[in-house]
Amino acid sequence: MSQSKKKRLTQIRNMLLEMGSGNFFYRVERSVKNDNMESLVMALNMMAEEIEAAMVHQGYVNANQTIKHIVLMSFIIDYQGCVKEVNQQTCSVLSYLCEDILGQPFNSFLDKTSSKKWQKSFKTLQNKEFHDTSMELTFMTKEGLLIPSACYITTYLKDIDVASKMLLTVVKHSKNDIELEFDQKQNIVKLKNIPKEGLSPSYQIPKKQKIRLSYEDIAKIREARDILINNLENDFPSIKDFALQIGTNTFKLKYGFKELYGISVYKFLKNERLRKAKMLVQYGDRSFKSIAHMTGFKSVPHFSRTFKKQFGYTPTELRKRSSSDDK
Amino acid sequence: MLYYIENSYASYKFLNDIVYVRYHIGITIDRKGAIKIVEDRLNLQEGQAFPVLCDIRGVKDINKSARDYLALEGSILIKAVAFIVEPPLSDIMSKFYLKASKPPIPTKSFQIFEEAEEFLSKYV
Repeated sequence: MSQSKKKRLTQIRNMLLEMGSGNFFYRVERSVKNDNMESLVMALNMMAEEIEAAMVHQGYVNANQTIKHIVLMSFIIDYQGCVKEVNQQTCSVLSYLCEDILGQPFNSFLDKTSSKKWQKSFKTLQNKEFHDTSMELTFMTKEGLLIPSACYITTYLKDIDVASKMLLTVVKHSKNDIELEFDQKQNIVKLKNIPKEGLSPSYQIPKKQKIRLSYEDIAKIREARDILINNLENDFPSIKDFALQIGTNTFKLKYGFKELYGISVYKFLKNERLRKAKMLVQYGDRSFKSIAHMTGFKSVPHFSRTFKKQFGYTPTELRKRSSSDDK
Repeated sequence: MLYYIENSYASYKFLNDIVYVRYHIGITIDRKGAIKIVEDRLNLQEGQAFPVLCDIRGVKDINKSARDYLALEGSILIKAVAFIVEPPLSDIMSKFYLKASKPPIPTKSFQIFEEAEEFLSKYV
C-alpha cells in the first residue's frame, strides 16, 4: 500500500475512534484526489457535521434548560504570535503535550489555509486595542485531524509596562464527562436530602418523561416536514386533518415535531413561509401581493405585519435597501 | 436579461429556458459562498423560475451551513435541478445532499449532459 494511502487510512481510523468516543468536531484533511477513499472521507466529514449539529439541537430540544456551551480551547497569545498560556483541554484535544505548545507560534497549530489567514489578520489585530472579534480557523491535531472552529479573539487595553497579549477562545457544544458527573452528583445530593418516605417512585423518574418515538413515527414526522416545505403557498389544514393525512394522531404529530425539529408545526410553517418570502422580496421585483399569495399569507397587511414582527423591518424597507444595494 | 454571469465560485449561462451553472474546479463552498451563488443566480433570472442544470464536478467541499442554505433559501425560483456529477467524489456529495439536506424541489443526478437536459425539459 502506498504511503499516502496508509496515512489517509490512519486518519480515517483516528476520526472514527474520536467519533466513537463522542467527539464530533474533528474532520479528516481533504486531498486533491478523486478516488473512493476521498469520497469516504467526504461522507465521513459531512456525517460528523450533521451529528454535531443534531447534538446541539437535541440539547435544546429535550432538556428544559439552555444549550451547554463548553470552552474547548483557550490560548493566550503574545505580541509575537506565540502561545503564552493554554488550557489543559487544548492539549488533549490537539493531542500535544503542554510543553510542546507553549512558546510555539500559534499558527503552527492551524492548517495551511488558516495559518495564512491568521498571519494576515494578526497584524491588524495587534494594532487594535480593547477589541473583540471572531473568525473561522481550522486547527490541526498532532495526528493530522482537522478541527474547524469559530474563534473568539479579545485584545486588551495596552499597558505600558506589560507587553500586549490577546485571548483566543474556541467554544463548542460537546458531551462532556465532567458535566455529566456533575449532573449525576447534583441528582444524588438532591435525593439524599429528602426524607426516605418522600422517596416515591415518581421522584426517581425525571420530571418530564420522554415518550419514545418509533422509527415509523419519526418517518411520518419527517414526511410532515417535507409536505409543509413543499406546500408553503397552500392553506394549512387543521392539525387534526394534517395528522390524519400523514397517518398519525394530533398528539404524536405535535409532540414528535417539536422533539425532532425543536419548534411547533405552526411556528415552523410560519418561519419557512417567511424565509421564502424574504428571499423573494430581497431578490426580485414581484409585487408583495404576489409574494404574499406564493407564501400562503391571506393578505398583504397580514404578510407585512408578520414579516416585520419576525425580522424587525417591513418588506418595503427590505426591498428599498436591496434595490439601492444593486445600484 | 443578462445571459452570462461569472463570480469566484461559478459561471452562469441562460440558454433555451434553462439556467446552466458550472462551478469552478477545486472550489470549497461555505455559507458566504452559498449566499453569493444564490444571489447571482437570482440576478440572472430576474424574478422568474427556471429549471437549473448544475455542474458540480469541480466542487471539492461544501460545509453544512452552505448545504442548508442551498437547500432552503437556495431553492427559490427553481423548477427542478439536475446535477452533473462524476464518481466517486461529486457523486457521493450529491447523494449526501439529497438525503440529508432534502431540497424541496425535484432534483436528480446525472453523469451524462444530455440525460440531464432531457430530465429538465419536462420542467421548461
